[in-house]
Amino acid sequence: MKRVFTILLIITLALPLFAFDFFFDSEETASRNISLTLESGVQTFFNDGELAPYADLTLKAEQDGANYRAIAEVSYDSTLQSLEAQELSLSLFFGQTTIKAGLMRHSWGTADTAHVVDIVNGRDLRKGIIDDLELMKRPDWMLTLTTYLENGAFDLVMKPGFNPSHIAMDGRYSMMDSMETMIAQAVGMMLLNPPTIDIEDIELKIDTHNIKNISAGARYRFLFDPVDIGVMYYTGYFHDPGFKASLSGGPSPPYTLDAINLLYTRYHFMGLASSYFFEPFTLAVEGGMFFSEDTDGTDSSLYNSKAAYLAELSYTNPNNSFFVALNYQGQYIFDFVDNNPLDVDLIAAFNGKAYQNNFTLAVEYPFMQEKLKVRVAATYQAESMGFAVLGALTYDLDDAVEVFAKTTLYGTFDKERMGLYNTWKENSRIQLGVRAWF
Amino acid sequence: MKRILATLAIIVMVTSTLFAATLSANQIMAKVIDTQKADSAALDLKLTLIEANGTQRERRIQTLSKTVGDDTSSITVFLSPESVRNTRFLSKEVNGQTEQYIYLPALKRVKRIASSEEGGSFMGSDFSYADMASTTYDTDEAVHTLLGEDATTYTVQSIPNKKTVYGKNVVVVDKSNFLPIRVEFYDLDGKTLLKTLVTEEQEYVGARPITKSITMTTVATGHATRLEIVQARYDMLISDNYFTQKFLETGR
Repeated sequence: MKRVFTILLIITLALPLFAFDFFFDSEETASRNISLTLESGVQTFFNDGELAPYADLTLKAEQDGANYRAIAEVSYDSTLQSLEAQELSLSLFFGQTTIKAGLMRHSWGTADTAHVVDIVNGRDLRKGIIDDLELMKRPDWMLTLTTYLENGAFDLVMKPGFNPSHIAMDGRYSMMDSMETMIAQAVGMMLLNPPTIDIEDIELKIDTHNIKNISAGARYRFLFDPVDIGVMYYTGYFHDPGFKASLSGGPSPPYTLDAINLLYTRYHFMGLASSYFFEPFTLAVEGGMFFSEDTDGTDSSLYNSKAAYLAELSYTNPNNSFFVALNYQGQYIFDFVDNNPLDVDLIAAFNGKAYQNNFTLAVEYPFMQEKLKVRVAATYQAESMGFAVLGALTYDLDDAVEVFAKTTLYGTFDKERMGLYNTWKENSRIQLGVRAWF
Repeated sequence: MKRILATLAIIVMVTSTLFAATLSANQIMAKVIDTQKADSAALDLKLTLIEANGTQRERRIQTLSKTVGDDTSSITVFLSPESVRNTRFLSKEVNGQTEQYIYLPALKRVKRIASSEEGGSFMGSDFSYADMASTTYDTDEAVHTLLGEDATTYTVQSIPNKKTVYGKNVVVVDKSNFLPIRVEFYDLDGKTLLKTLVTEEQEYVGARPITKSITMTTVATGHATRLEIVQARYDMLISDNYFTQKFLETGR
């Protein structure tokens, strides 16, 4: 964290802000901007009536020079009680080429409401589903190089190791309860009688920042008017862990469980993201194949190969910025077995199916000269029959202050089916708060 | 010598007055358009949205535009408020067809969007996209009629050939520099006054007269928007690199 503050301290003097060098005075060579965002409010959970006040603070400092841009962004989250760097990056500009290095998020994909090819960063699920796709991604250390061509762009990304998905170990959004239960049940059913495993002894953190964990990829985007197309290749790790149970004893059950070790699955990804604009609609499609190192799907501790696909139709009214999108997202896991409760694919699957189908509807409508905005997004997960609904009403008191009321609902139409929204069904909540920019 | 100069001055004044008096409505509006025309422009703008109760909100944008032949490209960068800072908007005319793209920093990507209909509000202001392009009609876009003139102004009525947003405009033109100093925008029925535009301050950038501060008021709501030019530069060389996906994504 020292590094964060060092960078912030270096950037202490706010200079004028210009978008184009036409407005620079002759002696000025850089512009600098420091902004502070404060969000504070109270949230209450329907299930247990808990009232939880919160205050989140984000400090962002940016300096633009003739050939570089430095960004330092840190945030304090009172709910997680954590001070974290969101971005620490330096970009260098050489003609048509940009090199950017540091801690950051790198986005792939063309859709608005969900992605299947946005795979460079892991997920951050510590606060459940929130209305910001970028904030639901965990920043990672990486190096990117982007070259703009006459009718497209080529970008390379390289990560020397990776940050796994950020999953809450305890608290409301912990997925460990269900994971522990599943592992214990699986181990108990299959191997031990009675189960002797103490889940708390599992080492949940392993070193993923190692040169052997290097990830890299490339994307080429081009416009074939009116269609823009991006093709990509990436080799890296699934950000969600698998696990391997080490057993001794035998040759027949019951065995002794010696250890459970987390491990990550390497894959090669080949994908495509495209959007077709037919005014005023946009059709976006994304899809790709994840070729797992577990090529025949026989290692239960590794994730299998899978196909992921997405289609989204969106409409934006140019007069009033009304936006609506309907998104379908699915995946199919190859060599899926549904009779091995230790198989990580089965544990991660929705209701024990090799496939999953998700539907999302998102609507945004601004009123009163964009002072009042209504946003609603609803997702339905077909296999688990689970759903999540996010609603938000924001009102600008002035340019720098908005008040809001938000609600998040989780639930399922079938309580017997396993799925994330079922796990979080006790976390439906309403938030009232204020956000200010300085 | 003094007498000669005085005589010349009188001749010049009389000639210009006679010349001005003979201007038709079309000639006046052609001059209005010519006065504001530029092959390229860099504008640093402040938009102040004023509620009927006096509450104000401010937006700061900078825009570059360049015209080659009949096609105009423009790039606009939103500097404030903080919630929209670094949003970048590109509009390109290619063989008369307009393509529009927006870079949303929150999404970190570029989206192609529909060409805004002329009546759509620009950034929640009282200006429509059409108003931002021009508040007056060229000679081939409308039928212009000279309603009257006084010592300092002409008053011209413009009825557009294609009535999409407005049915009629009434423009008061400053005789000294052919800048519009007041424009009334009427509904498609040609009778209901929708908005009024008032020039509050003029300035010269070199020899070019510009409207430095104007206020558009929506009659029905009392909501108003003041548009101020903080800095302006015209007819300089602007690289095509500004009107590209690269600039949209990187701001460079």
